[in-house]
Amino acid sequence: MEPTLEVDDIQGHVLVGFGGGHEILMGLRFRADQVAAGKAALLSCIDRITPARDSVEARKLRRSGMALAGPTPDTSKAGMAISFSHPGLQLMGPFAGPQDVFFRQGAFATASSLCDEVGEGGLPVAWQVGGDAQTTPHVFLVLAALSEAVVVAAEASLTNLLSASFDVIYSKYGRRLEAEREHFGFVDGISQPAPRGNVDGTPLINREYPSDHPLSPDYARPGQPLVWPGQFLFGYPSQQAESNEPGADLGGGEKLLRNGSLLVFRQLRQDVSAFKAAMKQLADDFTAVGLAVDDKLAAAWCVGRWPDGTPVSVSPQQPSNAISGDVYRRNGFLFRSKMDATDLTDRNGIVHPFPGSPNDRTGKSCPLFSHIRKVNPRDLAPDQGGIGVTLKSQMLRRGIPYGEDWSDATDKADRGLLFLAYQTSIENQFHRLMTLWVNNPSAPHGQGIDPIIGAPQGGRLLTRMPADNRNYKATLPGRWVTAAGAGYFFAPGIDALKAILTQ
Amino acid sequence: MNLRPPSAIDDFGNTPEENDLRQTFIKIWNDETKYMGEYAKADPRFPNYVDPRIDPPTTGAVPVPWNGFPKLLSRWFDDEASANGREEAEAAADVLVPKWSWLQPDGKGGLSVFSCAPHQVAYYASVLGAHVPQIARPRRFVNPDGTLGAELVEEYRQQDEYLEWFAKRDVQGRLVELHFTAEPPDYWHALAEVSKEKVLALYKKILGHSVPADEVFYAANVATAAIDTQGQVSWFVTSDKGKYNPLNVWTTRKGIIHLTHWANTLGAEVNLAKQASAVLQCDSLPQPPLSQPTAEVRRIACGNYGGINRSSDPLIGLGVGDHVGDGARITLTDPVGLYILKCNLDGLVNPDGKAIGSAVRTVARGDDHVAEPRMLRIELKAPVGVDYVLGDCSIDARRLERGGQVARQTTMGLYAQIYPDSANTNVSPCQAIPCRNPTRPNHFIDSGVEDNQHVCPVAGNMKWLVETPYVPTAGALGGAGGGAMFSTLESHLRGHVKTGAIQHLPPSRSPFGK
Repeated sequence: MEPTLEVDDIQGHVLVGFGGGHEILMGLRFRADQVAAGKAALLSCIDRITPARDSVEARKLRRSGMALAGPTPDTSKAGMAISFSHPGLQLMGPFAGPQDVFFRQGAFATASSLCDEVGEGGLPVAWQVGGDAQTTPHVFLVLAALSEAVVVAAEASLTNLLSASFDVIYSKYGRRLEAEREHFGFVDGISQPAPRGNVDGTPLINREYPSDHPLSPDYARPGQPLVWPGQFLFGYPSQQAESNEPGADLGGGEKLLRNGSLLVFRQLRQDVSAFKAAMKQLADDFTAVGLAVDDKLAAAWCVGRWPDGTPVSVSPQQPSNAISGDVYRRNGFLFRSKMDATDLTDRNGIVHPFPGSPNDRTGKSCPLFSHIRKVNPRDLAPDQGGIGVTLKSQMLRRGIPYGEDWSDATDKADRGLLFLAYQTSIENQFHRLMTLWVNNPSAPHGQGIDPIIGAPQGGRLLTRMPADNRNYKATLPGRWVTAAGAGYFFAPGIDALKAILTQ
Repeated sequence: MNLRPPSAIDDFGNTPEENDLRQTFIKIWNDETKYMGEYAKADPRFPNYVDPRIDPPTTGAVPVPWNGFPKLLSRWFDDEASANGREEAEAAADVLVPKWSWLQPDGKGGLSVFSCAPHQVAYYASVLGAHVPQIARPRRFVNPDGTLGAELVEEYRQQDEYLEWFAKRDVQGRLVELHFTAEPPDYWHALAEVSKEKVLALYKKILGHSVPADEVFYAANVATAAIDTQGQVSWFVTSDKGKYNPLNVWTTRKGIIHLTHWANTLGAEVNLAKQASAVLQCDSLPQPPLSQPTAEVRRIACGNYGGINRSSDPLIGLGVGDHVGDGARITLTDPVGLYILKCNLDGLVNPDGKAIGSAVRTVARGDDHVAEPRMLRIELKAPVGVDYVLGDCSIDARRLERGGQVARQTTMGLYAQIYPDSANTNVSPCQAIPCRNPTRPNHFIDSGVEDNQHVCPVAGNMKWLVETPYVPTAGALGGAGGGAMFSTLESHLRGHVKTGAIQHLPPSRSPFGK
């Protein structure tokens, strides 16, 4: 029995996300002696926070084509999410938030373990926000809207309300790029886990397999696994590593944690010119050792998808419009198991034939070092144990690009991704994924550090084993994704938020 | 073709005498009746495992990785969901398990050595007979006059992922060094056959001080108890004076040289790979949903190889099985070993918050090659000249107190090579099924091995003791409060031991037991 999700209390950004094309992230710090006033000011704008019910409704409208990509049913209105750092909570009262050790230490304290550039004393170098205790926001806001004008107006309005009590120490504008691509040119955000749970008696994520299909207990649709919501929200049963039975509430029943979630924010700067040059070099290096590769294929190997989203394991030689244009096929694959053809039924009762997809257990088509395999090995048992470990490591990602579109090789402007991800254990989700898989050449299945977001540590040695079963090795020097800011926050449920602001 | 020891390590010098020793070692290591010479031999029961000496592989080496922290303890303590599970699991990993032994008729007119942890005696009593608790106990030295002497302290670590560690603390109890090893005992047995002096010299080199020979080699014959149908207890010598003691104090209580868990041997690794190379009945089944045990758990039960609750054995077996399922035969890459592939110390910071991972780590044995690392021993200690010790540092936001914290950040692995399009595809039936623990849903046992029945044990069934970690508690056997039971056992045995009753087991009996 899946739980009822309390969508009037859960923040919409956590559970569903904002579909808006434009977002502004704001980092605020209480001014000296203004904590009480600041709390009152925040309380006065609590109605601006978007509950998950609104986000669910907005998503329905978007999918029915009745509205553009707005974060709320009222497309003229901005969506808003709020979260607090550990020091922010400490200032406001006795409730200090989740016990998670990384949340309590702050993002800057974990920079070295994530291989971010750090200086003396272990503090990160040149972060725009969150580089030390003094630049860590107490309050973190995500504003979203269908248009830049609306989101900018929302920021101005909030600033007007809050500026007497807060210093705005961070403001970053992000926007969806054309075709949902990130700056390296790849469609992003295709794969998300499906939280189990019901809204008004209906599953939050539609179950599209026939009920008697062997994968129906575990997947909402091909490639989208069902995960108990306690992996993302406190107060709900969590995912277990080896069982689909509901696990413990990772919040331990704490009332103020209920319907809340931990947010990892990282401003990731992308050096597009360096990336493209590296892909060219990588292609040349692989070609030199006997694998004829061009820069497009080299980049597809590194990502695990072609730029349009076509999975390399499904289409190893070239992208396919038939696959990338099909919402089921572009994410309908596993690595260990071949997927058989079946009919899928969408929320509106329309049947979609799914032709199935091949497996790629040993990386003959899609290299084991590819980014999508490093962060989500899907049904291939990782080094940590069964596939449940992979499910337990997944997060609800809400990232959005920032900066202007890249123009040419001389363009070194600041651009990248505002990485945002919700979870209930930074330690066992974001941090484990980064340290034990992304930056580990030997795991989850070996053959190199993540070529996209991994830290090179003297260069990434990538091993490619195609169908001839020989190892081809090439070194990928340099780094094109670097942190420029970060923060760990707690996004409470709306009732808990009121309690926190009035304690 | 001679097969090399793990990481192709060469502990011999270049003098003529050392060259002779090296040649002797190579000969022993490749002897067809023991060590790699035996392990690597093709087995007609497992045609998909190839002897690389007969059919050298030409494909690239494929790593099969797993995490170094004991998965059994993670499962048992549910260390991601329970409030103190992580710390409890890490503390349990540091517990040395007493090894109790006894002799059991082997059905062929002889006796076999059985061994288990104290808390598992009840299970063996339930399947082998009520006599087991009467004779299962630490082995004992035999005095020069033939009487029973002192108990031999035999302990092993419940660190069963082919990675074990030792925490060195100063007089204040502060953690000053951590030593990790992936070296199998097989190598040291072989080395002891070549030269005891070489073994002692290496102990001195690794530990930093010399150790007495009779603390590394059995100081006297060692005897194990048996009981006949009349209830008469007899003792038999099961280890000879002067033989290498793989559970000596310098690799258990006082230090670490090589692996000690009974399953952490090179022979076990190769045997596992052989058994896993069969095409199994379960391989043709669709990917099970999580409501059933996952693929690697299901397969290890089906093939009846290795420890079902570990990371290592199920993943090795699944890795091998996936290649075989793709039509390939397989072999383990020479030099065969269990290797530390990566020890991630990026999150290790000193008291000032400065990252010091690279400054504290030394690869003391083995090879940290960037493409195919084969590390065997890693040592961690604070840099020279600093005013803090290792225990003052933090790793991943927690004070560094135990080796298990580092083991969680350690990736182990082995290397395999394949022979494409050549697999024998005869399907072997499943020998057992995986059973989920009714009270711990992420913990399993395989059923059908001993009783040939595919019936899962209910909660409280003694069989679960086989997969239960050893956690000494007040009143438990082997724990501080176990004195009463222990005394009863002692008096019982003393009452039956007669001078001159100690006999030698035939030399073929394994001192390791089951």
